[in-house]
Amino acid sequence: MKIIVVGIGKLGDYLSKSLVRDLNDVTLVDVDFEGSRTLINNEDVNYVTGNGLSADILIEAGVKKCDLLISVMDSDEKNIICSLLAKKLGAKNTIARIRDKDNNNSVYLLKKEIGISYIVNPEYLTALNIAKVLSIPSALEATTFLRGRLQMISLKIKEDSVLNGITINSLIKKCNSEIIICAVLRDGVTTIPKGSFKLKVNDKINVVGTIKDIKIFLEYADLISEPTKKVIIAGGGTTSFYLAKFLLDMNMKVKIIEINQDRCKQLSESLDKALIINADISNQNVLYEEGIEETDAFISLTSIDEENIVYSMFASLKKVPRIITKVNHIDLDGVIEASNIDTVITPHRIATDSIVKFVRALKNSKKSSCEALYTFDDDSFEIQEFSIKDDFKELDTKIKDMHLKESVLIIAIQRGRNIIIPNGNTVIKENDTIVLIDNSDQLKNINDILE
Amino acid sequence: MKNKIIYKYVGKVLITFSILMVLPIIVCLVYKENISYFLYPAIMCFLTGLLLSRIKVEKKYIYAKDGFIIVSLSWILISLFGSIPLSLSKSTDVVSSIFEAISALTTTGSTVFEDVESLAHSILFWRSYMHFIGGMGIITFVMAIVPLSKNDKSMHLLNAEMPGNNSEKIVASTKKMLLYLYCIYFGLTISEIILLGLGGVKFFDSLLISMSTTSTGGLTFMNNSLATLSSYSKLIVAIFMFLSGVNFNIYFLLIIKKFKNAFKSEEFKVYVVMAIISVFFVFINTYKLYNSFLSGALNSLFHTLSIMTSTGFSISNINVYPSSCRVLLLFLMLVSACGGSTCGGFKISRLILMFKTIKRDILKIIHPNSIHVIKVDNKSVSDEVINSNNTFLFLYATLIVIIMFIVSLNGFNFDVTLNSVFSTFANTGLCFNIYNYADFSSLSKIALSIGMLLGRLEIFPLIVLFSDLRK
Repeated sequence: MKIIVVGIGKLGDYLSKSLVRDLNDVTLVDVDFEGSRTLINNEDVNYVTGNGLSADILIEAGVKKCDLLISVMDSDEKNIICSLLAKKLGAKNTIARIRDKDNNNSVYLLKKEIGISYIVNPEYLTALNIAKVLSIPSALEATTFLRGRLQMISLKIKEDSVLNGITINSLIKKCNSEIIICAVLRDGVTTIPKGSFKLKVNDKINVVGTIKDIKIFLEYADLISEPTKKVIIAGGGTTSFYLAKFLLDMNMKVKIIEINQDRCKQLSESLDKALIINADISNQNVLYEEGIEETDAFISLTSIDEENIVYSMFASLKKVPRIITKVNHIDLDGVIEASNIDTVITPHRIATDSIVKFVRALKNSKKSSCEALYTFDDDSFEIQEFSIKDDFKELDTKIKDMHLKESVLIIAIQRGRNIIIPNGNTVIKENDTIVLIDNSDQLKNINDILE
Repeated sequence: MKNKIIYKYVGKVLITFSILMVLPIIVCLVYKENISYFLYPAIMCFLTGLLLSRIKVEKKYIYAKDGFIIVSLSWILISLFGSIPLSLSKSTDVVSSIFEAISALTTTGSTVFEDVESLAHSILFWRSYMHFIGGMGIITFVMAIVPLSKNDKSMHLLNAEMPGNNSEKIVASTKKMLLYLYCIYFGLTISEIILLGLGGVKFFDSLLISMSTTSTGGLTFMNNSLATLSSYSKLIVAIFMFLSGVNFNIYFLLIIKKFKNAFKSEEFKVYVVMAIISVFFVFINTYKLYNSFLSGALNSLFHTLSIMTSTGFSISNINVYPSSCRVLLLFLMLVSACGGSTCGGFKISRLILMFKTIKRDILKIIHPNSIHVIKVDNKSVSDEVINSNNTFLFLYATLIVIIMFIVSLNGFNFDVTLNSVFSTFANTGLCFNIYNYADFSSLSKIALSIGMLLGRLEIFPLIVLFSDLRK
């Protein structure tokens, strides 16, 4: 597919890499490429220097024959105009990043008129992601597949946990629920575990199952703690606003600490039930006064990554049960691992996942296509959803007889309204939707999972 | 009062008032009574008005201050002219007549007459008619019917006269909005006349009762208020008292079929809940005083609504009520019903705002750095409005205390002093242990009259007038 990406900030950079990995022709457009030299030098991309709002520049980038233009410049208005322009010049599809800071939803009303095929709101997606995590006790991360019917959570195994030292086969037997442990992160390396794999302390495991089965598993592992009730959010940006809305709907008590007084007033106007504190979080007295020692969760969402990490480390020191940190720019995974912060949320990664998912669906709209996507933190593995059409080569073959690649694991199958956690004797039929994890970057269509 | 346009407006108001006096003259003719009671004051009022409106005006702009002054001057003048028929017809002194006229115009309903039934028909009509005129406000009436110059900033006038702190415009044109509000006002009155007529009340009586009800006035033509009406009629009056306490904007929204918006109003919800709880409380505490369960229910419903909407009708002796009910009813008297209706008191909207302010301030003590924007009906309220609300409530309390002090010089016991001041300041009229104000001294009557005007115009217009006069 011919894709033009306009605006190469953090999201544009990360997104371009993912798109190149999916074997797309990617052309970048930006006013200058000083900040993204490595991208141009290391990846197989073309680039045009110039204003993304100029028709000449867009034509030079090949907008007339492109399949998709993705506008991720810094302001909503620019992205809207760029999409409109691209549509006029002949782009088949457009994606625009709309942050919608004032939450007025007007763009969604105009989506058709402007001709935007897909709107990405990273702040909204991030907030949704955090809300999902907080809704499940003990989970570090949480995602859903198959339209919310299949759940994946990640956990860290603690010293005194029953999971410590158990093999996966005996775990599944003991807890008596249909779950799959699809990935284990140990010492910075992610692997797909076999049945004989022995879990150890400090492993971060990803567990997949229906919501009911996940609950049974959590009960078995004694991880059903008190539901999260009191939440402190550091920073009052757009993400905090969306998050507070979600959490208030879940009947949690939300406190937002924000340094800018005018912003506090805005927040207080739009969030009736949240408590808005106008103070500097870097002052520890503020955190003590607002009860950091009693809170159930602490979420750092300020605009500066370093501050977020430091606040979360402080919260960790104060033994806050659940800590979530937003990190947008820092690309030093090891540091974050070492800093003992459990859950790290990266907005541009979440936004990229949602865009890549859209692009893949666009590509394979007629054939078996990818429908949902989740990328692990270190980009090593991806979880995808495929709907199976008649072009799949090994229909009605038992899984144990399939020529699956070593790196692929089928996690779940949706047949009609049922969710099946497969074993060796399960077969895949036409019109199934399957969820699978793999580490090959070249999974363009479903037949790529076979040798 | 340098701005000459003030006089022009007051002139227009007086001319309108004199034209409104034609109706009682017709009543005189129907009942073959002496028309001179009304003819002379009408002519005097008309000539004064004509004289004032002839004054040449250079500037045609009304400032906020002028709005206040026009409103308070107009009200004082029409009270004086309105009292003349009373003085002419009956041998009451001037002060009593003025008290009665102000009580009628401010929709209070306290009377100085010991024997109301002996009054002439035209005078009885005049008292209820003044309720009706004063209920919605004379200036709004003038604004609704008289063509005004184009560059009028007439919202200033409206803000000064309309009760409540929410002069929210629901229609872009002020004139259109006022016409709608008057249509609703007339509609309510006419429906009540018809419903009472169906219950067998004579036309003249039902006209008087209806005008007193929808304006939440409370003056009647019988010595024992409405005690002799049938139960059906009492119920009808109770319902219409309740309806008159609702913000008229809500009816407007209902007419244009915006049902969702209509019932979203916090004030309306609080009004309904307060009314239900209070009626229930009074019923529980008083039903033993009546011979049947149903009459107990009707009595508690009628009296609670009568006091809450500041109407002031009664259907039996309320002096038998226990203290708990008295305290509750005195509280309801002061609060009264919704802004934008015809009721008195300081309005539920102010009470809501005050409670929200208290909540915010307590939150501020617990979380010194917290920021909490106060919202009413999902709209944020500015600090300015909150401050003026606090000032208003403080002034309200202070002025009540001052007037109580003046009335206390009269030598009545504390109960009577308190009740008289509360009931006049809140424009209610009905209160415990007082049947009429004939025994009060002239000084008390003047103080109470000023109190009624302060309560009706919501304090600030009169204060602005007098502080402007001192300059």
